[in-house]
Amino acid sequence: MKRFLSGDEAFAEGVRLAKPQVISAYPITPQTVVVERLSEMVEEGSLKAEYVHVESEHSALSCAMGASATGARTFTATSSQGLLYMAEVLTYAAGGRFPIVMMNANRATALPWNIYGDQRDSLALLDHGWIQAYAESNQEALDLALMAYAVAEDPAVLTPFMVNLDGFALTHTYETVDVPAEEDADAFLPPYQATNCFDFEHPKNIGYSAGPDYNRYFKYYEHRDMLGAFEAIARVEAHFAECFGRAYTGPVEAVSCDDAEAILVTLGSIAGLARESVARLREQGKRVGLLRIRYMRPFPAKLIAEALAGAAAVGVLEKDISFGAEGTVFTNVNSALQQAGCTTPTFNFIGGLGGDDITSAQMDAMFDALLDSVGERGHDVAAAGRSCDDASTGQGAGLGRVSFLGIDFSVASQPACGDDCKEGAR
Amino acid sequence: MAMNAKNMPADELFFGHKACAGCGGSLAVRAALKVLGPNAVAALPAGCMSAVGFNFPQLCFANNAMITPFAATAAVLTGIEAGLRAQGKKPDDCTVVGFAGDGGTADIGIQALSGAIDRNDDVLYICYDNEAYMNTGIQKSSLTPFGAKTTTTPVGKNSHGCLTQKKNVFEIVAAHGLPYAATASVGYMSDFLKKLERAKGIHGTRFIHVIAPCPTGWGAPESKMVDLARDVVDCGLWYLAEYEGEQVSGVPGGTFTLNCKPREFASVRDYLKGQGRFRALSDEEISLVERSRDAKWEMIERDWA
Amino acid sequence: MIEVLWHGRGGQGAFTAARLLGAASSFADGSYALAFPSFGPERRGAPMRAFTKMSREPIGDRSAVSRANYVIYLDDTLLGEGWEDELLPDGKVIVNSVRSFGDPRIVAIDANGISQEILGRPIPNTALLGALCSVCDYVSADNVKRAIEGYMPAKLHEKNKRVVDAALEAVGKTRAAGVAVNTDESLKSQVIGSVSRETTKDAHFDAPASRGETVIPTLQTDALDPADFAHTTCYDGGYLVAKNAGWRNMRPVLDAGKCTGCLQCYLYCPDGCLFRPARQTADAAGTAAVAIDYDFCKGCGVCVEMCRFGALAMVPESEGDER
Repeated sequence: MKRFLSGDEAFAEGVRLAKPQVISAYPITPQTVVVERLSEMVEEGSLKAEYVHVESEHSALSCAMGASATGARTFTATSSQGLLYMAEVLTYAAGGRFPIVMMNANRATALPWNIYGDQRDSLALLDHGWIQAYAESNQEALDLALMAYAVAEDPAVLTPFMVNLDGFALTHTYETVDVPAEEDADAFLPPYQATNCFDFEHPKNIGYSAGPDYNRYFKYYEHRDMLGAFEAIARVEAHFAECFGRAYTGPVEAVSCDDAEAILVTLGSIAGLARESVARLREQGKRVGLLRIRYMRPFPAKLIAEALAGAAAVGVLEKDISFGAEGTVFTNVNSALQQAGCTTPTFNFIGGLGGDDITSAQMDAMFDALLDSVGERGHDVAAAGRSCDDASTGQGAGLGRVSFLGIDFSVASQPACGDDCKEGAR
Repeated sequence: MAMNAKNMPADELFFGHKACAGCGGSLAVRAALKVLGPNAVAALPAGCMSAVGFNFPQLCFANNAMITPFAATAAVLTGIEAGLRAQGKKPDDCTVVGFAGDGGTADIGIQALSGAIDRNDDVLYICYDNEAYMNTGIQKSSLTPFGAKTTTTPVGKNSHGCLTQKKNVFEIVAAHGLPYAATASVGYMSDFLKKLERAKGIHGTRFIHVIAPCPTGWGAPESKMVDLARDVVDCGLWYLAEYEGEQVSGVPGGTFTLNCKPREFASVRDYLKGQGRFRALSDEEISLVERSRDAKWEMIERDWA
Repeated sequence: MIEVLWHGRGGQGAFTAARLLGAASSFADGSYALAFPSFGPERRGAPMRAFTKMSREPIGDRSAVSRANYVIYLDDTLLGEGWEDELLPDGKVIVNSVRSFGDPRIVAIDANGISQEILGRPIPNTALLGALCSVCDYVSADNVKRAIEGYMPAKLHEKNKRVVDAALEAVGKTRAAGVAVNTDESLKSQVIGSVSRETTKDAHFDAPASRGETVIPTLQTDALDPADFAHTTCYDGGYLVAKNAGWRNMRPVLDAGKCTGCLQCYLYCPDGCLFRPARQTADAAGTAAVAIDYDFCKGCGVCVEMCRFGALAMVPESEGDER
């Protein structure tokens, strides 16, 4: 059924269709609408679940873990500081192999305190053992709510799943969404058949400690089974297409990459803007492409390298910065290229921090700058790799390896950042 | 008939663990599981009992049991109970029980505990109180008593151990108006067993705060563990009491009951001086301990008796 | 590099000794040492190990010592089968014991006796350091004393230095007199009452008391395959792989004639090691209401304190076997 929903509402609809048995809820902007809608669904009886009003995010995930240990399908949601507050529980849930699904509304992290969207929260926790997917649209968010359970609960995977929605850009933006019928959703997603749960006939000890003699085995399988999610994602997406007629492209989505000279890699809702820019620039005869990363964990290194192999310049646009280094997505993409023996020059664009808008002019300019970098140096790889420090301005003086949109990467149509600001950025 | 040594089940649900010899905490867990039985589901935060209780592959709980993040005992209990109920999988005689230490309860875990009580989740929370962070090697918690030497409240020229008073967790919990709360001591086992049976039969959040001496941390012979747990009650520094909320007592605001009133207190000095952690206390400090005990009992007799 | 492996029980001071030795051997320029304990979940009373590595070169290997130049036992109940496997060729064992061992590689010293006499308490660690100085030229007694001054509380300095001297003298005498080698008896039979780290089976009951039908964690012997256990952290409750018998050097023994069956020992045992036998044992006084699980008893003595009738007593582990 077509409905006009915000991302939070769409996601709540997806959760309703997935029929979790225990929901632990704690409010935080911009996630709050999800737990509000779910409480209404439980109240009106359209969702039969135990709805637990926990007193913190730390307890939200702990409660979900306790419920999962009984074999119940569980859901919780959070954002930003809330995600960081529950960070230690993420490793418990992952190591315990509890297939919890959690929605994270991507939001900036303090200080300065800021409730708007960026991806510094979830990207800071890539190493905590959770599958991480990033939605581009409200439809994809809803669909991921269903697919997340199917992937997480796959016996070969058994790993918790974090679905990321850009704060405000998705969570509070309304668009048309197709909400599947309950019977179709039931056909797609059968009830969870837990294996790592309490058993009153044969009691279990769960989530114990394990010393140096045994720890490595648990960690090895945690890694191996997360990698196994690639196959599960393919199976689940194929099944999803059968059930609902909507096809997804696996861990990455490549748009016009095949013959592209410059490719921009990004994730989340900003891919929509990049998609438009690619279409526009292609019309101008510029060979540009977009690679949208849908899953940051497991990390599709091979697919990324394959998609980028033919490009002469690669940009990574992300709403994140690992201070003192570079964007985390950039690090991951570079590793993928290096492993594939690919020496394509790469450039990092940091934008959208704290809800800052990324404009279509900026998007076009990023592609142009990538193309220019090819023109300036031919294919001379050695010219690339300048650091943030020596990148005084964007185009003209050469593209810096790490550039902040609106500070050391600006476009003519946008007032450039003043000299004071540039000083501050160094 | 109340449970006692003669009629308690032979099952040993917590067995083979690596707790110190003479560990009061392990006795509390053992005794509680005797009462709660094999269908109990236990949750234990990072702490002594989980560290010594299930270190793979030595898994010492014969019943269903699970570790929790340190701060999250009560939240995990909530999840377990909700999950079992949501699936119709909870046996009639299943108690979802948490065992957390003094730090895991009164410090880092108090928020989650308060949350569970607020929701009146159907769980039993047992705080085994050995009066310091023993798992990490004897550091002060908010249940460490005045004057106790720990590795973070050392005895020196300027001070003689812990400068703060033991936090009043029992009354903090009772102030939530939960169905049932009690204090106990592993030294008075029949009283503890009775309270466990009582708690087992009540629906909603229940809390038992049981003193469980740690010979290692208290500086006392292992064999004296139970004697210390009796002495602390006999000298009046701990008390055996119950709170019954309105749901149980029918009285608005609930009722407090003192279970045991020593006719005459045993010597506080003897109790303190039997333990290395209090060795440095001066006469003046000991009388300070006695005065604070007397003030507490004045309140108890006024309000609870 | 010289490597020393210390065996003690949690609380006996093995790591303190390991540290003092490390300090003593690294005062001089160009000398290096590492000292570290084995970290595990086991608690006070449990067998534990500590290590000292000493060298004229910086030491990069921070891993545990499996074969050492010197293996030192703070408690002779820990010296059991397999002791030779931990010793390098030409290595020496130093053990705190009043017994003699028919093996020239084993030096016995009554470290408890020495420390009891001088410190007033049987804390054997510094006596064993003194003994080590006597058999190992790498470290001098003077430096051990300097380490004591540098790393022990001031009030312990004088007495512990006297302990070192007394131990030096004691070992010197023993060695001068030569070790009585008794080739007729294997070491195994001489290490009376020792508890193997693997298993012990109490042999003094023809038919050990049984717990009958009870729900209780039990020892398992099947091999553990990571492919089975490591996908999740969810495994059979009550799955045990190790006994706790090796923790104790004293054990409770029951005088069945005095037992009234009050069961207070059973009620208060923190380890569930006092139990009501399902059937009477073939023990001579086989009417006892309780039996003792020596596989898991840690020897805390709570049961003895709880018995008002004198039916339980603690005896040294070595006598326990002969009972």
